Parts: sequence; structure tokens; C-alpha cells
Amino acid sequence: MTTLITFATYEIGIVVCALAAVVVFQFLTGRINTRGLLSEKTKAGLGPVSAARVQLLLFTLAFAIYVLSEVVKKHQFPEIETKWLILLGGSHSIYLGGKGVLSLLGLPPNPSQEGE
Amino acid sequence: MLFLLQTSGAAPDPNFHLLALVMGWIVTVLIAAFALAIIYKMIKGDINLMYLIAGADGDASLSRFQFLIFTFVIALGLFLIILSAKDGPAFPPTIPGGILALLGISGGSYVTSKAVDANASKPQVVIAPAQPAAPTTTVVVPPPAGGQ
Repeated sequence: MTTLITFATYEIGIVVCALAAVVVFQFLTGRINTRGLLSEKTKAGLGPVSAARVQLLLFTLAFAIYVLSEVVKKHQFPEIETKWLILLGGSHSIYLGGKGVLSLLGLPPNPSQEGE
Repeated sequence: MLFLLQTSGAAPDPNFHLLALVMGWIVTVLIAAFALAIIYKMIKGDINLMYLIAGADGDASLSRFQFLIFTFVIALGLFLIILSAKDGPAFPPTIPGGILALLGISGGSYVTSKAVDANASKPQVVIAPAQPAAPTTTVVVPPPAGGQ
């Protein structure tokens, strides 16, 4: 039974790591579409890089690295304080609010080219 | 079943233990085979991940990307915690509410983003005002001159 438990544990770990490796590899080689990930999206098309999206991406990566590093150090999930969750929620609200407003207004792709 | 046998004073059935072991191995090997097949198809391209994080418009969605990152981070973290348990692999007794809130926030953002995209792509029905009838012109052709 101990052998089975150990085998199952390592099997799940290898599967999760292999899935993560495949996804990361396909991100890097372009087989997963990342077009427009950080751009404003309007009815007229893709716009310039959005500060709200960059902020949300940075927060996401910071949280991910923090959680993983705490798990590796202390072998348990960290207690995330409410203020950090509020910060993340606020960042999401700004991102979603901006997305909703832009999609309704249908602003042109690049406002800086308006006068050309 | 084992608990009932023990409380009644009867010795545990070794065949039951063997059955549990065999079933455990079958399920484990089956899951490994499915997982390997899926990973192989992903690498080969039969399972197309091109639009893994794409929204309705085909462009990458940040909400989906974030959901993907948090899912992998929590899955890997859970695996590391299970592996590092003192008395052999064991599920952690509690998962902090903050971690669940993290998944909930990213999931909620994904769903809301999908709703915003669906609302934006809805065709807008515009009811044009009724046009007034165009004025008609009557042309009177005079009869030809000369004898009739």
C-alpha cells in the first residue's frame, strides 16, 4: 500500500509538472495565442498597451511567486492578509471597469493617430 | 466495512485488503495512462491550445491568463505540501481562506470578463425613424397639335 501511495503521489506531481511545462513551452514558441494580452480592446479593434492590464499582470505574477515561495519555504499555504486581497480585488475592478467602458464607447484603436 | 469487522471482534479479511490494493493500482495506472495520452496529444498538436486563453474575439484574455496561472500555482503548491507531510503523503488539514479567495477573485473576474465580452459583441438593434412619403409629381402630357 505504501508503494501505491508513493507511486500515485509522484504520478500526480509528474502530470501537473508536465502539463505546466507543455503550456509554458507553447507560450514561449507562440503556439498559444497571446495577441492583445496587454492591449486595450474596443469595438474598433486592438488599442495601445493598457496600464490597468500591465498592473493586473504584475500583481498576478507577484502573488504567484509569493505563494509558491512560501510553500517551498514553509511547506504550507501562506495566510494572505485581507488588505492584499482588497488590493487585488481593486486592481480587478479597475481592469474590468475600463474594459466595460471601452467596449461600450467603441473608441478608435489608437487615439494618438486621430489627427493624422 | 473494515471498521465493522474490527468492532465485532472478527479479524480483518485479507482478501478485502488485496482487493483494495488491486483496485488502487488499476485506478492509478488508468489515470496515468489518460494523463500521458492527453499530454502526448497536446505536444503533438491534436489538442490545440492556440486559444487556451483567448476570449470570444480570438485575442488573449488577461482574466483567463490569470485564472490559468493561479490554477497551476495552487495545484503545484498543493502537490508540494502533500509530498512534504511528515508521516508520508497526506492532504493538508486546512487550506487558508485567502488562497480560496484568490481563486475566487480570479474566477469571478474571468466570468465577469466573459459577460462583458458577450454584451459588447451583441448586435445592437437600431430602430430607424419612419421616413415621410416622398412627394409625387403628376406629369400632364398635352394632346398632340393638329387634326384629330
